[in-house]
Amino acid sequence: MNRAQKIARFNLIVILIAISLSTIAVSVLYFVVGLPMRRASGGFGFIGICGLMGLSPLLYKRGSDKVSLDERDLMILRNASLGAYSIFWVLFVLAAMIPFFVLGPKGMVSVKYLVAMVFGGIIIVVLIQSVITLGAYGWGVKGKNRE
Amino acid sequence: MNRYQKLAWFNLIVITATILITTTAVAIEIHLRGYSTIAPLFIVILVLLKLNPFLFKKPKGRNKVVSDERDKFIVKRAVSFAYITFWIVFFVSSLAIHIFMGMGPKSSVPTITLPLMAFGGAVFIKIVSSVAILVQYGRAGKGELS
Repeated sequence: MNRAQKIARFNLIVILIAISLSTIAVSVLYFVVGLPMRRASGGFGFIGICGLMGLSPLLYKRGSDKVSLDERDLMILRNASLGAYSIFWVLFVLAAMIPFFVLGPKGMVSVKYLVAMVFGGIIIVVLIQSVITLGAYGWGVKGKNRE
Repeated sequence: MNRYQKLAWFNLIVITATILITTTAVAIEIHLRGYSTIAPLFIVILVLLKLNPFLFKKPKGRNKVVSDERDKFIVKRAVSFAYITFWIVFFVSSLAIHIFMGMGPKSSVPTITLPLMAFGGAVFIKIVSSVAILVQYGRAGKGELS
């Protein structure tokens, strides 16, 4: 497994843990504890775990004397980025249009929605990027080990 | 000048013309009436961007080459660069709105802002990718004919 695969796998695990914990927390607070949705949504605080993704370049450092990427790796990473941004763009347009049609042209949206779009966008891009990267390498340990 | 360069130039010309015409029309209308309702409709000129496939057709026939690996690489890089630039602008502008408008319950924006963001983002990506294509080819007509 090469560096790009390890980073993709790490990011995928972190995102899935964050989303799972958030969903469980919100569900428990709403259905079990009986809090109103506004307060139960505090469970989304577990999304903060995604901040661990920033550590991936530090955890999987580049070897100073070895070649870390060849042309095939670069192509896979580029295709993963392009795929991730393309899917993000579709979701971004949907996220922009749905409130307009639901609330009407005179409706108002909290500025928190914009920030949620940004952070949701980051999570979606990294998630799809990781899935495409792992898929392109074959999900297993087929990539050459260059560490 | 190859097909991608022609497309990039066409995109830039249409977008620049639309911005200039719409801005001028809005300024004139505001000067005459004090408000502007009709002039922003000039933005429909951007529909011309959809004529790209008809204006710059791919050459037909077995012997005609549309693009080689280098061309595809340039286009892919331009699109990636455009997406990354858009992402930075989107991130900074969203946080700036959040910071400047505060975090209270009254800090909200009209829903029309969101479709405008998407529309502006699409135009921005088109501009950046066109410029990136032209810069990578060297701005002049160095690209192979297609």
